[in-house]
Amino acid sequence: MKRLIKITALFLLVLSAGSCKKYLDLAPIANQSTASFYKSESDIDQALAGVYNSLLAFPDVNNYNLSECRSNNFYLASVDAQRDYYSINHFQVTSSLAMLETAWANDYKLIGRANQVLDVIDNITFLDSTKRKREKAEARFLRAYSYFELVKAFGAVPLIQHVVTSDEVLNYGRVGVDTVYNFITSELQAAAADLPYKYTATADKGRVTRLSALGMLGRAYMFMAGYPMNKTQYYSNAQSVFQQVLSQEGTSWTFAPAYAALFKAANDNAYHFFEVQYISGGQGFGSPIPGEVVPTDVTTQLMPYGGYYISGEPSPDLITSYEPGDVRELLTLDTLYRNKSNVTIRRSWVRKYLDSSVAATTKSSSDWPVNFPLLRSEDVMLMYAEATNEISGPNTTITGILNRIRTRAGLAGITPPTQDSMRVAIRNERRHEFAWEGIYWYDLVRTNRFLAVMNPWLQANYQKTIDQTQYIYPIPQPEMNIKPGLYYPNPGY
Amino acid sequence: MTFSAFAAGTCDGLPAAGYQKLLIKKQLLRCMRVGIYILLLLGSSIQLLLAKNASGQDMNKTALRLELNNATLIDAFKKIEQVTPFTFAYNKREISPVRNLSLSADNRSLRQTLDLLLQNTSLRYEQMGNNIIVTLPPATSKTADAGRRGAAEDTLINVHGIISNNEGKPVIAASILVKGSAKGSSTDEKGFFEIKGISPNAVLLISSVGFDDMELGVGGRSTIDIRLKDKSEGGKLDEVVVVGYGTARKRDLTGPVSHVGARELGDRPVANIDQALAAQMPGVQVQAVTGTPGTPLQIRVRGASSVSASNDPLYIVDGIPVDNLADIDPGTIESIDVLKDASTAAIYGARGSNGVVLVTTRKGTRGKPRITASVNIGRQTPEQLVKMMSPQEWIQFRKDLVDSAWVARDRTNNKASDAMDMRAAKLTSSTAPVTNTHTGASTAYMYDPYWAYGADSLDYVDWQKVFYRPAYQQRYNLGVSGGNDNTLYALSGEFMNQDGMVPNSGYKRYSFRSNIELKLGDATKVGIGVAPSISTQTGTPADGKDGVGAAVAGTAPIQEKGVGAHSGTIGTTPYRWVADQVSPVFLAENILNRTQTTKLLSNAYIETRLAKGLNIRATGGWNALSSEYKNYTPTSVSSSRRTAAPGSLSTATRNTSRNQYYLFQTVATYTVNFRQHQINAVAGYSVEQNSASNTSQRNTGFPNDNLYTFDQQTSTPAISSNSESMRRQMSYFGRANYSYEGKYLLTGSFRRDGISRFSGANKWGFFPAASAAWRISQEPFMAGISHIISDLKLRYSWGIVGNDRIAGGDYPYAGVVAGASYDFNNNPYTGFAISTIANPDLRWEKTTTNNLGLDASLFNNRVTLSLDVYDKRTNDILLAAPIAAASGFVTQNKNIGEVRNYGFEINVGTVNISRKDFTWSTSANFSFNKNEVLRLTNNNTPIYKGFGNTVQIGVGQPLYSYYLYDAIGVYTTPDMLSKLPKMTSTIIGDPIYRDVNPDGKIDVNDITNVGHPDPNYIWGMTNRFTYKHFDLSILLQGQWGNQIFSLFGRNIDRPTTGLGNYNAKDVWVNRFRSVSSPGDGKTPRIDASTSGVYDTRWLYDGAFYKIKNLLLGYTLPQPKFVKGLNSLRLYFSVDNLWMHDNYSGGFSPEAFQYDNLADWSSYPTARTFSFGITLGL
Repeated sequence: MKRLIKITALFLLVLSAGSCKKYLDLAPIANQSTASFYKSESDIDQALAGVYNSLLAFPDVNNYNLSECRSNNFYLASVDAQRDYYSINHFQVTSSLAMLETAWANDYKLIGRANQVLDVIDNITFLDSTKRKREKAEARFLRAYSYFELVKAFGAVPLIQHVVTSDEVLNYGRVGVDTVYNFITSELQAAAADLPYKYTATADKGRVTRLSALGMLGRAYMFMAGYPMNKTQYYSNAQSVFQQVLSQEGTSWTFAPAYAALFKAANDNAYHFFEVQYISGGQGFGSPIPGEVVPTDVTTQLMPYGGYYISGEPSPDLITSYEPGDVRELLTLDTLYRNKSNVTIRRSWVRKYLDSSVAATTKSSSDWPVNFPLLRSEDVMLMYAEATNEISGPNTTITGILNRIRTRAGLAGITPPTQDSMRVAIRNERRHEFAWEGIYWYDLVRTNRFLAVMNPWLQANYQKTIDQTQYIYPIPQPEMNIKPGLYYPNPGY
Repeated sequence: MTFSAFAAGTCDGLPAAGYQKLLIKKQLLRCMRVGIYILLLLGSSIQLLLAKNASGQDMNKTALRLELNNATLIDAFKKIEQVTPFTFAYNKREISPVRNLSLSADNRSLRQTLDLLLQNTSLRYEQMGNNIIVTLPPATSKTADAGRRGAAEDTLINVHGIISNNEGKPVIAASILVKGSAKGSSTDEKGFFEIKGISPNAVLLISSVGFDDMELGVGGRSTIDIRLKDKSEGGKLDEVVVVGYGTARKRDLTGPVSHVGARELGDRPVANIDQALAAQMPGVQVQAVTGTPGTPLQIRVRGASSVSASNDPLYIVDGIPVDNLADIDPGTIESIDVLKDASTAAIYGARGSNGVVLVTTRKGTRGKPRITASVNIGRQTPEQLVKMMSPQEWIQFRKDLVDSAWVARDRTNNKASDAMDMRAAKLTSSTAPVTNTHTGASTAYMYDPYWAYGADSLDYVDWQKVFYRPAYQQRYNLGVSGGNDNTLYALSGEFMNQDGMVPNSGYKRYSFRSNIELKLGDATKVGIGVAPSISTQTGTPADGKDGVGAAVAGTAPIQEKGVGAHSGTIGTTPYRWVADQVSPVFLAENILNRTQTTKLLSNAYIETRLAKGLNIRATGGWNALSSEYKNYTPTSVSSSRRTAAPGSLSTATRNTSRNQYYLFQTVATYTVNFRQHQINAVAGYSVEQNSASNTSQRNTGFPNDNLYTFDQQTSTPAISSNSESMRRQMSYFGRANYSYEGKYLLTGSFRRDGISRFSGANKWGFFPAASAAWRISQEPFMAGISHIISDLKLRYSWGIVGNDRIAGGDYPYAGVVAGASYDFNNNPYTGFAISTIANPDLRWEKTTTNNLGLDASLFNNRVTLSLDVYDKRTNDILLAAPIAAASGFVTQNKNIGEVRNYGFEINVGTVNISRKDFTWSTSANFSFNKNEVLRLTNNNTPIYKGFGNTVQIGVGQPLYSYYLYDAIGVYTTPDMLSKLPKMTSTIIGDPIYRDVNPDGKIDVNDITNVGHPDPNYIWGMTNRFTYKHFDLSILLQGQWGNQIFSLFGRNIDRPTTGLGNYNAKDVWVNRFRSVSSPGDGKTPRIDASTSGVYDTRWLYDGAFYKIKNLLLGYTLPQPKFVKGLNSLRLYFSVDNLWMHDNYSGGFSPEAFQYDNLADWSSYPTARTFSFGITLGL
């Protein structure tokens, strides 16, 4: 009988032990959950850093693969590669190309993170309300930048300004290119108002500034003025915001004394208006770009971990286009390299981002500390010149700007007499100044030269030509598949 | 009056049952003596008493129609044996005088029949299980009383006899034990035994492997001939199978359960349990997706119903769930049962939808200690390799590349026929001279002059051959089991060492198991099962996308003379025409990669009888796993090995993980019989908790390569992280079985599960099931054909089960904020961002199954047949489904729709020949399964999965369907190119794709459904032969109706990155070169413009049939050369002896990693020749 009682007691004990309702309520141990985050000012600070974090992937995907590889700056012999940049360079892109989905998802990831911050930031108590305004402006700038990247690559895209669920997002179809640009420009204007021209604390350098916002706003106007919108009236909008930026020279920014100084880790945040911040150390915050553009077997002194892609090189077309004496040529590329067995190999490659002084700090081929510029003062200067030339033709100011850049590059000053010759001069300068920065291809599109430039080159090198539809990419197939009909396809794909 | 009641009564006054074994033993012996004494007094109640304690058929309920005409009693018994499950044990001399028996052809119960047959004799019978023992009671026992207790002990007798099987053949090495004493004996090669000096009232316990245990009273006889019942034949229906929280006899089952017993398990010397399941059960697909030693196989029960991370069944070892069947010694397994439908698995509720695999380990049985020792030694070679280009073919391939590059360099002046000297002259510049020599030639535009001299000047390397080497394996087992009335034990230990075919790889395991059960008094028993193991898995991963497997096949087959298989290593000259890639052999030899896993599977229980028929069992389970992964990758295998300082680029990784799983469970069972009704009920409750933690550390940049351990002083930390997670489950469950006359069987069960993986009300799920069976053969109208149909059962079942195993760890519903840091001006700044999007609506995946089954035994059990037809619908299937990326996220854990699996399964067993010296039996299974997506929640919009979105989940199609361009040839003429539909970028020599929507052009709309990875048909067949002491079994296996998409195949079968630096599949010999040299019309030109395009050139037929195993054994009867040796068995076995398939995309159509939906290359499966000895002591 005693035993019976004991056993029964045991049974009841086990039964009651678990009947506590809370027993099954477990929250993640190793992570914070969405519900518990976004409570305090420092949470917002960290969430904003999370928005910046999305930028780390931009240079590789947006600037290198989708942009530089699309142009005739990049050449890839036919038999030797089957990577996405091959299809891009050879104009064989289909909507299934994985890089497109990568770009689309990266851009919207940043937008989603920014929306998250912007949706909650007004409900959070900040000690200093100007800091709240500034952080809000930073998030708005980054979101606008991401939409700018999207509209350049895909044309009309869904415009989402708040956090959405997986069901709600299906109510957002593609909106017109002009609507997207209007959003971008109004956001950048608003952001510019609340951002400082520069940060005094060193630890804040690298955050976006009013220079970033105004420069980017001007760039957006340049795109609105160009192909395919062709709203030339925006040249004057561009001109006036660029003027604001240029007037800050000496106060808020300095013009780099030498081209060679622009892509050095030591000069991070010294000259550019907007940079993706990279740091080495093997924590995943380094730049992949230097490793991406050098041959795999380049000597260890330059690249301790080698390059990680095999093909793709500066095209002969780019190499031959430099004027003799242009220091930018050899600072951008080379036609020989020493391999790991110390043999000299005749093959062109990009040395622009290779800062051998920091090679030793890298922990892998994609761990470089050199920041990647997304907006440079030179870009603003040349766009100002371009806008002015489009509005009123050459004048001494823009000739001065042109020659300031040429002189720094070791070239003699020139005086293009006509609007047309000034156009050509600015375009040449831009190609050489910004080669392998992801600027050139969109310059070709914006100025509607892409068919005229690409077709002869494609014919000569790859025995093919393209049509007008190729100025943008197709909407990625996985996105088209989510809800058929939600996004209409781009023509030509 | 039950035995326990009177035993307890007579033992009153004795010391209470303690834990000391001796004390218990002594006490029980006394009880026993008293018990026997009272037994004798009770006289006629003995039969009743024994019958109640035995678990056989009820003699009252076994109906038969026995007509006798002047027959002997022996004849009568033989006839009864034919039509009932009972067998008789008797002494021929005692019963042969009973003759001239006649009976009318009436329907009587067995008891009535026996009473009639024996009414005029002094013979009496007892039922022991399904044995009926017929004895002539000794004269003394009739007058026995309490005062003569001592006298019975005084007159000790000697007993001898012969033990035979039901064919009359002697049973060798059967154990005979005198109940309640240590006395015993075993039979010799003639089945003869002798035991001296035992009480005439003693009870003998007879047991032998392969036979039912038997208990028999001596009854004063000196000669006792015993017939044991063979477990594997007539006993099939009485085979006990394990079902959730209990056992059942096969004849009483109402749902589909597949059983693999000791015999099938013993057939093949396997390294892991799951291997023994291959091709043994219908509807259970067992695939060796990798040959990596120590890696569990993939098991699928009735197709894939889920798209979530796991289609694995729930594995349960001795009642405790485990993650997989790795590291368990197959030698300790008694049986494996697979619950295949919802009615049987519903008692496992939320985890039952992929089937439940119940593993039961060996327990001790009463008798002398039985020691078994076995040794197995084997040699493994790759079953199949991939056909690559030979060195000569590769040279020609490389020459073509050189020529085309030369022509492309200057299309106007250069010709492919230009001589090398002329090319050298044209290429030479003032800074870089080019000569037509091995060291001076341009590798891009010139041939290597050595190519002309072949293997005289260069090393030809067959990489697959040098990499996958013959490897040896060995296994040693030692086990002892036995027991007496109050202790049962089974102990075993195992050592296994399997070298891998990949250099420096292998699997080593030490495992132990002890199962002990103690009786505490007569109503309570406690047991403990403990199984610790230590296993070590070593070797460079050869599987999958990042495995070395693809590099092995793809490394260029030509290297510098004298370098061979160690090409690309420091100190060797790189062969300039190929990539300076470190040899995979050197890589495997020099990378340290080792996982050591310590596991403890344990359970303890206490079971007690609370009232008549009511038992309660409380179980505690504790499984602990801790593993440590070590990796050291030295600088000598890095890409900069030739110039970097030793150690500078080395990395070392150390990951540890710990898993603690607890289970507490209480189960009550209640059995009651009244008249023809039998009710058996189970109710229980359990709580489970699993907590996991892991840490990961990696350092890089070492001062040298001497040590693989690290600290932060001499190397740089690169990763330092740890994480934790926990999940809990709470369940209530119950089941009731009702049987009327053993003819009509009903079962109902339920389970209510709560699990922490979901949120709010979605935590709880209810899983009911019901089933019914009708044993038609028990009906009187079947009696006339009982010699044809000995058993026939029709059954139907229905039930709902669940699945919660979606990827996303223990918190799949939660939105998680994860680190997303940045640095501002090189100052690291901690950032966070939402990494997964929450889904509070996430809920169980639920599967409803309807199953109709038929079981039959024909021609006196010569043919057994089982047929099942099922329809299985899985609703709310879980998937990390793609969502519109504009939301900021690309996937979300969701319930996405409904899938149906339907099909049938047939299992047939036949005894084809059964002669004295020669037997042949066959068991075969065949199953057909088809799956179809019925509904998707997102307006039936198809969902894409797989690499490059090559797999579609779409309504009306199999769950996974490959969506690819259908390659139907190559544009070999300008005419074809101009007339056939093509892509905008297509040029001559590209593959032709089928214009599925005939719009005259090839685009994404022409991507079409080209097949699916699930085989529709799988089958297995075992033939067993015995000839005298030899036995032979052949296991065949096959499947068809599926396709395999191989990314490994694609990797070595397309103009890939760095073409010419690597080797490619041999099909490239027949590629398109020009209009005048079009090749085989299927292989495109080298530089076909199909990048980013997936087509059917890499889709292969997944059908195969193979000789999975062949085993030849020889059992020495009672070997005399070693004293104490009871049995000796020698065998020779071959695994994966032969295969027919059309798969060239990888090593084997089996070695196809299904859940990744493509073959990414794998560790080849092994053809294993092994030899073994098993000794019984």
